[in-house]
Amino acid sequence: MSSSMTDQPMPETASKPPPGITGTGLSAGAGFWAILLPVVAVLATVPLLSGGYATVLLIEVMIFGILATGLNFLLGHMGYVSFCQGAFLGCGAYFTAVATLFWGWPVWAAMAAAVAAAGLVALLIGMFVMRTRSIQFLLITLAFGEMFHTAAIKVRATGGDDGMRGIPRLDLSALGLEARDDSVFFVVVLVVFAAAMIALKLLTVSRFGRIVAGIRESETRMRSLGYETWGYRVAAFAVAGLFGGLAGALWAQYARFVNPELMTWQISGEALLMVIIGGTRNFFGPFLGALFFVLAKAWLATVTDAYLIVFGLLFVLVVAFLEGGISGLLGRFLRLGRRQAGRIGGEA
Amino acid sequence: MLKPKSRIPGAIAAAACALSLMSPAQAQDRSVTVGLMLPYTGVFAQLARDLEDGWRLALDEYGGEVAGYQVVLLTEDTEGSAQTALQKAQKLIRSDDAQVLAGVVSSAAAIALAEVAQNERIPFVAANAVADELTGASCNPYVARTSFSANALQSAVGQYLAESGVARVVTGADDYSAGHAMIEGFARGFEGAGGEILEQSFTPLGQTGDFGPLLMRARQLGAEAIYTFYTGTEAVQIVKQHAAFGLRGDIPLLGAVWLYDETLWPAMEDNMIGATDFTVYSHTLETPASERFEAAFEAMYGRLPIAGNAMGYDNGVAVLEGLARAIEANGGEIPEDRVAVIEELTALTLDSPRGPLHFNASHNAVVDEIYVVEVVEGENGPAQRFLAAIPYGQDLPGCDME
Amino acid sequence: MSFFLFNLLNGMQLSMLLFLMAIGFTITFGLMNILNLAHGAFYMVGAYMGYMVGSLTGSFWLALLLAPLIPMVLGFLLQYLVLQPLVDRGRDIHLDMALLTFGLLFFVVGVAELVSIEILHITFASIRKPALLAGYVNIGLPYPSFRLFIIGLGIAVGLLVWLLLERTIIGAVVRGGVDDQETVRTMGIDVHLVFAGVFAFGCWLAGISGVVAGAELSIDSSMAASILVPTLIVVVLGGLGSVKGCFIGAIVVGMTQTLTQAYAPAIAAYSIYILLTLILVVRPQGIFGRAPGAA
Repeated sequence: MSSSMTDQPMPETASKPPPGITGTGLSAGAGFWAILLPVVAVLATVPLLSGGYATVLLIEVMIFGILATGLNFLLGHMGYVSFCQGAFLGCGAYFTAVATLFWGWPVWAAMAAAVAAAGLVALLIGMFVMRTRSIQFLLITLAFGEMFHTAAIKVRATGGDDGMRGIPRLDLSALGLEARDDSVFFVVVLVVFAAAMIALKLLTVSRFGRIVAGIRESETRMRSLGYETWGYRVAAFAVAGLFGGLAGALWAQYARFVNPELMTWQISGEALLMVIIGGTRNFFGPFLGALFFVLAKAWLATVTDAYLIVFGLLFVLVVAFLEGGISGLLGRFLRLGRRQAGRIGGEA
Repeated sequence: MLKPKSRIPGAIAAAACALSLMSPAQAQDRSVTVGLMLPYTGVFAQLARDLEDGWRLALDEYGGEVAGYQVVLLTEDTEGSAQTALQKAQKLIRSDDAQVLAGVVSSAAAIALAEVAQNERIPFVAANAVADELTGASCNPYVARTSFSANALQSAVGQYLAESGVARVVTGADDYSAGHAMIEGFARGFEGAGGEILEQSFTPLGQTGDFGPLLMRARQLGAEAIYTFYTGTEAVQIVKQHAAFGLRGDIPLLGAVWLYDETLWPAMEDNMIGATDFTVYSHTLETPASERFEAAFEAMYGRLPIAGNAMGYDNGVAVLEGLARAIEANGGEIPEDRVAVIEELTALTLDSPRGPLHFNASHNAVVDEIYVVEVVEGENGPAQRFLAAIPYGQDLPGCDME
Repeated sequence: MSFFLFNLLNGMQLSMLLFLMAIGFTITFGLMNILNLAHGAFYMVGAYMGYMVGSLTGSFWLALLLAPLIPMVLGFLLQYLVLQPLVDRGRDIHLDMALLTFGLLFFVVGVAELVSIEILHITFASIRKPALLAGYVNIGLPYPSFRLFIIGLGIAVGLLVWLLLERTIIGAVVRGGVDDQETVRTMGIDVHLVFAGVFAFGCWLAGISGVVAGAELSIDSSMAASILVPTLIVVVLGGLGSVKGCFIGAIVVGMTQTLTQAYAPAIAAYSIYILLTLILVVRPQGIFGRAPGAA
């Protein structure tokens, strides 16, 4: 931690971003593109090379990648554990469904509105829940998430517990393409995914992002520097909600079906699981976690019926021993490699 | 460093391996794969096994093959979740080359799969999910159901109760879409036959089970019976609490199919003895089809069949017979568009252990009758005693098949 | 007896049931700052153990006596061998331990499902109430004796816990140990054993509530997850870590749930969330919680 904090307002004049999302040399500037571009390139080849199952699995990975990375803006970047990311997933999904099925909106408009709606809901809820911190915040987000779940189950107009089906996908007829084809839809999701990653990264390194990281470091210090931290915390909550909603809007089109299950605390817990397994300290950690989670779950199901047992155990082991998750592990290997190549490695 | 003799065959082999992992398996001999999706983990784990047992009896009766194709039955765990059901369906379709999907208990999972069925053009034959919408607003040419719909069941029971002299009831169900749908179905039959529902009570879903207020309300209003829709955990709780409040002799607790389900009996501590139950199948049924089924099931598993076994059996027979006829009608080959499977199976009349079973225009199974039984103390523990057969009800309209 | 009085009695019964479920959770958090999200797992283990003891011995009282010992021992081992060492190695006691216990919850539920279907061959079970309490008493209307027992048990447990923590040296040692481990150690007390003991106590209480719920409600693999939300609403309302708060919070939640169900059923499903929002606006730390800033 820098000791120059006492004199100057840190975020304005810092020469490098405050500790938080850095730490493994994989994150700032060139590092970000060095990962994003190859990932996107590899993903882009998938629908061409493989059968439908891999395509479909990776669509899920990208959607959850957006969900988890959005959640990590709250968790890794600001240090708040939110147990209601599923509620925003559900909000985005349901809004997309309702806008297209009941109001007849074109899908692109429904998606945009769904994201805005989820962000707005997060903003409003955030104003309440950000009156708490730490453990109380965790528990209250869990309760609020359940409130959404209850509402979704009760409201019969949106299918109640049975959900709604028949949600259309983006209309690409202008390009002569059919998003009904999963390979085409894959590319749509890929584009949105890349855009979302870029947007979240920009948010992370922006002034806003650096203040949020400062809140994780020490909220009292930020307040003493004159920042109205409650407002920033609410805004960060809204960011998580926004991207949760985006994941939801994509999910509604992928499955063409929505139901209240999306809003349960179990789904919110799975989002947390992805973030923790992947690593909170690295920007791409949550995406790695989503990749691991979806693929491991699919593979495990072919081997055993006891998915809960294995996953619970895995979660426990990762939290206990793998601080920094998979990305932390990778980061350590990469740094080791660089040192051996003669270069003095990056940040501590 | 020695160069290996030739790297090309190895490379080709490796590439072929990689590609084969990613693309659907090609059928070696003539075989057809059916994907049976059931909630093997979760509170309906026993029902999942019961349904599978019935299905496998059907498969056994067909000798494991239809029209010259060997049947490969793949079972997948839906975990009671619609999201998981979707993922498993994708795997079955894209990785396992499944030709038909079957099973599913949860209505949400069924609706999600109805969407998959229509988009992927693969037949889905629901074994248990009872939401009216499945063969109502969500109906489509690729979906059929072999169990029953909520409205048909509940209205039949309601009508019977009113006609058998029960005039005033209080109803109880959880406050969510299925709860309301079930009670509405009951009300159509009950009130339609002259009964009076004194009060419809809805309990909040997901909160700690306390049915005291509902039970006391029934007593306070002077109801002759309490008619409910509760399943699993809550069914056990309300039956126990009903007895604890001293109502067993006074105001009977009633519910169709799920309330006094056989799998719940161990948890009910004899409080279900003397209760009237409404079911779609009981082994005490003395029809030729039921006796035949009972004998075959007992021979294969060493125990008497229950309703879940019968429903699994019907689902298996429908799928296998539908496949057989579709293949034969297509000159001995699996048809390109497997909607033919649904078309064939919905044209069938099955000699089901539940009674003669045919399909209506919405692809929903229709039986002639359902059964009233009493739960009694038998020689080997609780058992059912057959009371009466009552006419089955009507499905709700709403299906607009394209 | 009027319907209103009956509802009050019913609400009290539900409140005491909720209190029994939540008090273990409150203790581990209040005294040791560990958010044990696997609390429902210990509750469920207590219930299943109660079922097994009850079936084998035919006695509810033996089940109540013996079954909670299993979650107690498991809790002791978990804290002593897993959680404490991790905290000592610098893991964050709030976030990391909460998430770890959350993973544990999934694990235990998976094991319970496996054991119940493959070994016990049942998916639903129940614990037989003792003959003494199986019937009902006539207080104007028949009222189940077991529910009166629950009310009594809840009050008794509340008193026991309060006495232990406020009036004995144990509570002082624990609270001292949380604030200043070194000083307590210099007094010759093994702080880690004390912590493990407290955690075990919390799990023992969870086990007791499991046996009671197994008799009054039902036992199946969904029960571990199903108490999470009601429990946390009780503790958030009452104030995290406060025993008094847990008791009052349970009464507020139980009464709200019962009275809205009786008189305003349309909003019954939302009533506890409305309560939660109100508390957040008026007093975010809960009724007896510590004021914000005094982290």
